[in-house]
Amino acid sequence: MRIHRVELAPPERAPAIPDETAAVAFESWVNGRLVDDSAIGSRTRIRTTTGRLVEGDLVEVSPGYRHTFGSPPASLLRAGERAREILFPGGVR
Amino acid sequence: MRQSVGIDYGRFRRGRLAWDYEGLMAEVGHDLDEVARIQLDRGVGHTPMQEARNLTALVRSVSASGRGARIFVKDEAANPSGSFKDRRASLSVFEAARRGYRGVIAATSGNYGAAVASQAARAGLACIVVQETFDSRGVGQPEIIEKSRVCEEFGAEVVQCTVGPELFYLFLLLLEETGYFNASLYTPFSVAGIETLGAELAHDMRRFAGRPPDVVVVTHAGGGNVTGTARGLRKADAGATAVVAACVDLRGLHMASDRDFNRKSFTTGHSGFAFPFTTRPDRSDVPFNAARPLRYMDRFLLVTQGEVFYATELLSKLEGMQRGPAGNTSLAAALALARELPAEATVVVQETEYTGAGKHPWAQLAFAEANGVEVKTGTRDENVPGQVIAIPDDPAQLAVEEVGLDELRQSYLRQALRDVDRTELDASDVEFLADETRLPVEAIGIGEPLAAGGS
Repeated sequence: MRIHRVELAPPERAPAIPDETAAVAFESWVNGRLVDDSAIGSRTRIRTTTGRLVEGDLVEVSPGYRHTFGSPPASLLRAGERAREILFPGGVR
Repeated sequence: MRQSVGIDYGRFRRGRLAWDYEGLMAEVGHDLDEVARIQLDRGVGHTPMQEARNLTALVRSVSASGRGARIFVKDEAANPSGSFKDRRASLSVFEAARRGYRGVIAATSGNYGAAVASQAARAGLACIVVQETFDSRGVGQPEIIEKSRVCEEFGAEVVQCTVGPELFYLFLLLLEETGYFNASLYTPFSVAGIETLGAELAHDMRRFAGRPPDVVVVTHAGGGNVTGTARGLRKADAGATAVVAACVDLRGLHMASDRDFNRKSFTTGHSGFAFPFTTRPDRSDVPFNAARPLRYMDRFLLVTQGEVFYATELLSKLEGMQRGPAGNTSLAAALALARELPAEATVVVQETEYTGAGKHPWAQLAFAEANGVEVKTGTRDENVPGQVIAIPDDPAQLAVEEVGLDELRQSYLRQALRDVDRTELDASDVEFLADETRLPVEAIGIGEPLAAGGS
């Protein structure tokens, strides 16, 4: 389970931060096991892996990771190919 | 803070500014060999040194006759969590366990979090990692998301935050709530953990080339890497080796900006940390920072994001090593330096780091484009942090921008002496500032009576 918390509203934020940062809340997310039965969007409590009890809004069930390797950019591939041509003229053996 | 790192920092205070740096480092309580043994017991260190013969050949293809130094790479990705940060974490977690803490906590978005989580897992300690992960749209930097994943994999609790310095407020609340050990990057334990890397480099190169390296290039951000490596080299009787600090040029981007956050492809090893931590090291999360890079660096170089991606591609395509990209900052600088050095000289790239989904150059460049950054083939002058990443396509284009150490020293002194009543300073302060900047005592210029209204 994943909860979301607004740690500091915009007026509570640190002084001397850029305007675009000061204009938005300081937020946090943490994963753990649900303590009470709750629906997405409701205020709830989770127990984290260190045993902490944290309160926040339930935003995701079974949170996971979907970051990828992306696709190779043409400029990078071209750079690598040119280096190989310099070192191994006539093609890689 | 004393409670959370177990060090009474006040004990080291000597003057208005001066404090006993070597006294603080002695808090580690272990010599270099003992640190190495602690690390070996935890699977850390003794990483392979590899000669990058194809990279050397490529550099020589664009060098003047008799130029093109031999390039070596210390493959720190072979550490348990995939980077040299295991050296720092191993000693911190060892200390936390020895002192009876139930857990450790670290504020870091980078490899250090993974390292602390990995070492905590081995030690059976609880671990919390606090990260700056998302912008206000909830879009995460993929490299940091990958680090969240690794930390959770090792059993750590990860607190992911939006952009802003208030992360440290949250960090302090968590320290208070849990009573865990603050595995700060800036304690003597963290810095002493890197000394073994400097010493290993010297020993490795004695085997490869019969003598310590002529130049070691270190990716520089918070200063611990430069400090620990240089101290380790000296302890291994390799004090003549030039220590070159290299960082990615992100000048123009604000590190606390919600907008700029996802317009950079490097979350560490960049100018946004390297400049402030060189000229004002005590801006960290401990009273006295054990990382004092200005005491140890012989040169300070900037490379572009495009050059680091290029170096990463060369390492893959010519050496068959998939690493970085952030850890390849020193590689990009080393390639440019090697071209100017004599062919018999040796240059060591002091670390590599693992790569993976999110971190990988393809992932980072795709993310940059998705956030409005143009990615193209081009020279270093065409790079504009946050707007254009220009990737060279010819080794002859590799270069560095040198930042004068005197400029950094003067900036250090300006900041150290700002808001200080100079009449309160004594000889110990002058000596301290001289040690900090490697300037002669006379050059510090505060031993003289000050003119009225002087700044």
